[in-house]
Amino acid sequence: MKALVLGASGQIGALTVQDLVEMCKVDVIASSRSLERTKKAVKDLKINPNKVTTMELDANDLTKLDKVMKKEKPDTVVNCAWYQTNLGVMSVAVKNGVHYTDLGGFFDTTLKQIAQSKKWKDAGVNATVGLGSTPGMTNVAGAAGAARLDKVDTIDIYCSWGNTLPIKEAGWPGYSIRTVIDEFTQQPVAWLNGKHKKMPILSGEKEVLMQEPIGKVKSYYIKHSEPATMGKNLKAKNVTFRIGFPAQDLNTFKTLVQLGFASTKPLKANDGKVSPIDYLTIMYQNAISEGRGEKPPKEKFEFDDFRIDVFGQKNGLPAVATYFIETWNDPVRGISSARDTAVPPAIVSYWQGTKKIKAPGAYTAEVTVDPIPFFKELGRRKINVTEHFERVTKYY
Amino acid sequence: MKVLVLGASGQMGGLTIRDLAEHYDAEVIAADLKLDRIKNVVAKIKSDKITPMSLDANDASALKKVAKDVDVVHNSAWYELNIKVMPVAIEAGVHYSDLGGFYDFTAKQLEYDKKAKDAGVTCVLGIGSSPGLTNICGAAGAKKLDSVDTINIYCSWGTKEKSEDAAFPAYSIRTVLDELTQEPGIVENGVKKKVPVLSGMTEVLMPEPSGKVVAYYIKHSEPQTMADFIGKGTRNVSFRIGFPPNDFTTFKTLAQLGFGDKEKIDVGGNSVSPKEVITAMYLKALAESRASNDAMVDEYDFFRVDVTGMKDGRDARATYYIRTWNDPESGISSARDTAVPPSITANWLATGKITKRGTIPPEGCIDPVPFFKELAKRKILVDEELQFTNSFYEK
Ligand SMILES: NC(=O)c1ccc[n+]([C@@H]2O[C@H](COP(=O)([O-])OP(=O)(O)OC[C@H]3O[C@@H](n4cnc5c(N)ncnc54)[C@H](OP(=O)(O)O)[C@@H]3O)[C@@H](O)[C@H]2O)c1
Repeated sequence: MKALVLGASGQIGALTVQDLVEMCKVDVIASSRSLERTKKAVKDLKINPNKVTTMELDANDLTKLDKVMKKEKPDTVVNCAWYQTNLGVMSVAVKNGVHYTDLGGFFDTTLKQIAQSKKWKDAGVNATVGLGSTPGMTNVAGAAGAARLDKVDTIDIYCSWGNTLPIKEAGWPGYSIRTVIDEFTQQPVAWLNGKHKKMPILSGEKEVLMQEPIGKVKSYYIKHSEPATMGKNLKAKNVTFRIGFPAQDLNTFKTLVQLGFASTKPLKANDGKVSPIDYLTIMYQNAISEGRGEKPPKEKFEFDDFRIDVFGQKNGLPAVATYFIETWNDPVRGISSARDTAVPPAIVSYWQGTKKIKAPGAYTAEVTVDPIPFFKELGRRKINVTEHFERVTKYY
Repeated sequence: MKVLVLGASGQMGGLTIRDLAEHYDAEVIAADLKLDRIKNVVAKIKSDKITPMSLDANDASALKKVAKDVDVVHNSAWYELNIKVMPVAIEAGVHYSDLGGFYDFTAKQLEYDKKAKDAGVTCVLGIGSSPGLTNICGAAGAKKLDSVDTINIYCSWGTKEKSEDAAFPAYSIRTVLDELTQEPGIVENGVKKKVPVLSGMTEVLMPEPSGKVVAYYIKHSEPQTMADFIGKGTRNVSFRIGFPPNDFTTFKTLAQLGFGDKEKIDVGGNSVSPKEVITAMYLKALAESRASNDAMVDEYDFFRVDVTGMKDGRDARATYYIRTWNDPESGISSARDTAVPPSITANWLATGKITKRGTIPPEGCIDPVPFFKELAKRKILVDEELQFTNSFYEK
C-alpha cells in the first residue's frame, strides 16, 4: 500500500513517515511546503530512502494536491500539517476516494470535519480524524473504558509530560507551539450534563495522580477536541480535558502569551514585517530541525503521560476504568516520546489501507478504532497502555 | 444466648457488652477484677440481663465454674491472659474468642487446635478490628482472586479537627508501647521473619481526612496466621500503622523513656513497673473522660487492606476500606470497631453460624459479606474496590 503524508517535515509528521516505513512496511510519499526540510527530516531519521518519495506540496494548494492524488493514487492520506488545512485536504481526498486521517481539529474544525460524514459515506471511503496522542489515543481509551461498562457517566482526560534532567529545560512542548499558544488564548469547552459549555481559560484546577515520576500534578481545562465528540459518541454525561503542565512550562507559555507572541498582526521589525506567532513558530521549527540532527541520547530521560478515567456502572455497581498511557523516549531506536502522537495516525492509515478500518463516513477515533488491537500495536512501539478496571462495592 | 465477657470494664469490654445487650438482648456475665468499676459500666447500659461479677481470669477453677454455664467466653482483657483463659474454655466445652494474641501468643494458642476440635468448640483468635476485621477483609479479597500474592494491611486514626490535645490511643496503651518496642513479624516470600521496629516505612493513601500517611511495620497478629489460613499462594503479609504525626512522637517518647518496660523500679519504697504505671495513668484518665460530659469530638478509625494477586490471568487487587466514626447519636466512639466484632461472633457461635471447630483466626471461620452487613448496622463501613489490570505491552 501507499500513503501520502502531508506536513512530513514537522515534529510529528517526520515520525509518522518513519513509523509507516519501519513498522507498517508501507511505501510513503513524504511532503511539506519545503522539499529541503522534508529531505532533511527523512535523512536525519535515517529512514530507508527506497521506501520514501519526497515532494514539495502545500496542503492549501488543493489543485496541486488533486493532481498528486490522481497521479500517485495513494490508498490513504495522513495530514500532519497544521489543522487549518484539514477541511481542504479532506475535500480533495473524498473526491479521489482516498482514506483520510489527521492529528486533530482543535474542537471547532473537528465538528466541521465530521459534519461531512454523508459525503464520505456516499463515496464509500473512511475518514478517521483526530488521531494523535490527544486527541487520538485518548479517544480510543475512552471507547475502551465505555466498552467495559454498562453505563458511562463521566470521562476525565489528563495529559502531562516531563523529563528527568537535573535542570529542567524550559518550555519545550511535545507538539506544535502554535497549538500551545491556541490553548492559552482560547476558551476551553467541556461536555457537561450532555451539553458543550465554555469555561474560562485555565480554569477547573484539579490535582491528579499521574504515573511516576510525575506523581501529583495540578491540571487545568484546555480547549481540545475530545469533549467535542466523545460525549455523544460514547453516551457520557460529562467529558473533560485537562493538562497538567510541568510548572516551568506553564510559566514559559504564559510568559510568551503575555509578551504578545499569540498575535497574528504583523509587527514592524527592522525593514521587514512579521507576525509574532509566525516568528515564534519559525524559531521553534528551526530549533526542532537542528535538534533532530543531534545524536540521540542513550538513556530514557523524557516522557509523555496520559490518564483517562471512565466512570460509570457495571452490573449495577459503580465502576471506573482508568487508562494510563506512558511513552518514554526510546533510546534503542533513538525516537523521542513525541512518537505517541505520530504512531497512531500511522496505525490507522495502515488499517485503512488494509481494510481493517473501512466504515464509510467521517468519524472520530472512538467510533472506528478497535481499542485492544490498537493498544497492542502501540505496545510494539513501547507506547505503554495500562488498564485498571475498578469496581466499588459498599457493604452498608 | 449467654456470654461471659472478661475485662468487662475495659475500653473494649464495656462496648462489647453494650452491643450484646442492644443487638442480641443477650444474657451477659460482665466480669473483671474490680466490681465497682464494672458496676459503673453496666449502670449505663439499658438491660436487666447483665450480671456484674468480680472474677480473676488467672483463677482457673473459678473461671471454669462460671464458663460452664455460658455459650461463649470472650476475653477482652490483656492478651497475656489468652493463653490462660482459652484452655479453660476448651475444658469447659464452650466457645471462645479474644482480641488477638499479639503475634507470639497467637502462635501458642494455635497449638490447642486439636484439643478444641476434640472438645467440639471453636476458639476465634483475634476478632477485634485489627486483628479481626482486617483478617476477614483479607479472606474476602482472596475469594475474589484466583491466586494471592500479597496482603498489606494499614491502619490510621485521628480527629476531624486537627487538635493539640494529648495523644489518647484508640486502644490499650500497653499494646501501643508493646508495638513500639517489640520486633514486628511479617511474611516475606513465604517465610515468616522478624524485622526491626518501625522499619518498612511506606506512604499509603487512606480515606479522607487521613489522606496520605507514613506507615511503619508494627507487631501484630495478622502476619502470624493469614498466609497459612488464606492460602492460595499468599507469599507476603504485612501490617503497618500510619500514625498521626503528633501521637507518633508522643508514643515514641514514652517508649524511649522506658515506659514499655515490665521490670519493676523502686520508687519511695514502692516497686512498680513503668508499664503498670503508664497503664494505670491512662486507665484513670480514660475513666475520668468517660465520666465527664464534654462534647464529643469527631474522631475516626480507618483500616485499609490490599490483597493483590491474579484473576483470569490478569493482575488484580482487592482493596478494603473500613471506616468507623464516633456515633454522635449513641455517643459511642470509633473504638466500637474493635468491640462489635466479638459481639457478632458470639452470636454466630451461639447460633451455629460458625461451624468449623478448633483454634481458628477470623479469616478461617467467618463468612465476610454477612459479617460486613452486620457491621453496617453499627455504622462500621466497609468499602470494597476490585481492580483488574491489563498491560498491553511487554514488561
Ligand atoms: N492529536 C495530537 O495528539 C496532537 C499532538 C501534537 C500535535 N498535534 C497537531 O498536529 C499538527 C502538527 O504538529 P507538529 O508538532 O508536528 O507541528 P510542526 O512541527 O509545526 O509541524 C507541522 C508541519 O507542517 C508543515 N506545514 C505547515 N503548513 C503546511 C501546509 N500548508 N502544507 C504542507 N505542510 C505544511 C510544516 O512544515 P513546512 O513549513 O516544511 O511546510 C511543519 O513542519 C498541529 O496541528 C498540532 O496541533 C496533534
